[in-house]
Amino acid sequence: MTPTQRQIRDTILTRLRHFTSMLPREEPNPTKGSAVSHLMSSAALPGKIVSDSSMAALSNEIQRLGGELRMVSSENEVATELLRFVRESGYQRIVLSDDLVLAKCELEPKLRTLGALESLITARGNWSAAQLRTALPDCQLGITGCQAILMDTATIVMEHACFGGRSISLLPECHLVVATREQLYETLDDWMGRCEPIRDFPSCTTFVTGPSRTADIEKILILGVHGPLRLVLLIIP
Amino acid sequence: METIHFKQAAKENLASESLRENLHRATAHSMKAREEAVSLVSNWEELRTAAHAIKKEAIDHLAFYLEQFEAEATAYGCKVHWAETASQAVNTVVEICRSRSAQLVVKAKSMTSEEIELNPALEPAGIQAVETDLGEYIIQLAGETPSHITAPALHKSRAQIGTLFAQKLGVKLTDDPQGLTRIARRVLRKQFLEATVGITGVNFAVAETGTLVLITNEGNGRMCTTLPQTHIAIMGIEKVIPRFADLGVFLKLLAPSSTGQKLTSYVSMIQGPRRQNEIDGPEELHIIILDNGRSHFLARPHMRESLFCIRCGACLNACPVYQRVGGHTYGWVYPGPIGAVLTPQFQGIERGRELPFASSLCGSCSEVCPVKIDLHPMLLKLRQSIVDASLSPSIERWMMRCFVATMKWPWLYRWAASAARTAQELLAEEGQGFKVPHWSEHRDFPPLAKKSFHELWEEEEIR
Repeated sequence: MTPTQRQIRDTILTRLRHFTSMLPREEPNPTKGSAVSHLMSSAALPGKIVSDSSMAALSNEIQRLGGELRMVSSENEVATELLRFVRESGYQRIVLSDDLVLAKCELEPKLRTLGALESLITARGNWSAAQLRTALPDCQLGITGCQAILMDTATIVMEHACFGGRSISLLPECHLVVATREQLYETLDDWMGRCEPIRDFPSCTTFVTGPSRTADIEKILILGVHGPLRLVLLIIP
Repeated sequence: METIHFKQAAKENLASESLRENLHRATAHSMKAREEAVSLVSNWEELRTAAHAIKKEAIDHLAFYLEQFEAEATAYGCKVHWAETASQAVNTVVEICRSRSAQLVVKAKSMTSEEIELNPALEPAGIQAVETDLGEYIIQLAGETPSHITAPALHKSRAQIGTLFAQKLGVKLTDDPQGLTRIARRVLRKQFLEATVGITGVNFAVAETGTLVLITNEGNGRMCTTLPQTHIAIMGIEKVIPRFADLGVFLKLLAPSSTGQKLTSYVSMIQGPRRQNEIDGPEELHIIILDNGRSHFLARPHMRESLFCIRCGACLNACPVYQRVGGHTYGWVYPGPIGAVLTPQFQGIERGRELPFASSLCGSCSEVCPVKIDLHPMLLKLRQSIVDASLSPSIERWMMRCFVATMKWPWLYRWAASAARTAQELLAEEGQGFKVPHWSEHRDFPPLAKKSFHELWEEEEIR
């Protein structure tokens, strides 16, 4: 810190201490309050048993937000369902993250069998950051896993330390997320209460709740401003 | 600084039918959406109480939590800068941009950056700053200032926006909101990819974990903090909250209050610049901690709560004055009830002398505030300061002196009342009160009784 910066900093802090000392108050207690939440690595915590009513609430909420919910009954069906989605949507430029859930269903080789794809960007391609920066804006579909789903608000907790980083769930027109039942949490409090404090945060974590939207023009809701227009959640119960 | 002529501006804006219509539609929509969203939160009042307590704790120990935040953020690789004044903050931004040879910066919506007048300072330094929030982009193209904290282009209709896009961007004329949004998406995406620096504000800064929290809907905040090589985050000192667990309380309050959503589309939690194993994100993250007079608010115990504000805009939408005159009437970046409290503090009561009076003290603002700030008593306190400093209109001061004298001496009161009844006989029409110049254009002066209570009692008419 430069001497000038040090001086400015000290001036501000001294003034703050002076004014706040003038009223009676408790000493600061930064450990007071509920247990803090930290973000885990991509290994999911065991969740509670998820009720049918919570699933119904999730489904309603996603639709209300303009997103889509698909479900499969087992891991074996994930790849089939995703291939069906790609065929239906007509997306031909796809980027795939390296989340465990996608690797387990062998999605990459199965996507390649489709043949009609213009491009399929994956971690196996040894892409540099610069190459990805050029290629990702052209992608139409980004497929990722997630860290957690908060069911009451239909929020997807995205850690961005995976292949594709922050961009894979931001730049393509459509973001498709695959989640397992273990990753489902009833509420934000449920998730925050269950996470153990750790210091190994990724540099960015995002709560994604529905497609990108604005109401800046006459308060009329429009989807797909700068982020994805389409958000699809596929759950393996 | 020149006084903000609220009354004059209000008179002019009230005469604009299109503005009144746009404002009514937008604020009515926002209020309804807020009401529906709040009704879904079963513990709304508990959350408000908790939020108030958390903010009080943060503000009462602001130095402690700011130092903790600085240490945590620095440990992640952030470069933390301090700015006592707006010009120091602006100079820091310009220096950072110059060090990166930045010619184009993209900005997410930040009231703090408007407060320090950042954009006008970047231009002479050869740096083009593009606003990327759709509402801010619209008013940037129009050369205007925002009229609302969360909906900057609230005062504009789709037709006006369509004409603006056609004129400034050379696109085909349309007033279809979806079409207009697609145009903005296309144009701004190029800017995101070319810009060297992204500038944002900060909704919350978590002291315990050094986390910056950005709450957005459009995705431009994510773009600004993902694609450019350098991210500059400008935060007022009051944005700090003590613990990560506290964030949950504010997340549940902000979106319902602001836009009527349960949660906004995106909540970004940022801990430092890109890590070694990460594929994107900025290489450098600069955080500018801005005072610009906020620390002085703490010297006024009755006004401290104005630092609790989380910039949701609910008080604007609820205020019957704002609903009719709009944000530009308030003369600075913070409009509505919170603006009427902040502007006189930031810019002096002389400049903001009319603003605390732009209220019927109905208390709607205090009722809807998610952090339970007692706004309308603060307006009253500011009025007292303005009167004590002899800044209220001289005729008002003269009338108050007359009133005090009349109330002090009963004989003077009776004489004045008798004289007024006689004058009413002579000057006013039968059954009506006085016509007071200007005042009576919109109000009726109540007619005085023909005889006083004392007279009626003496004459035994009412025993």
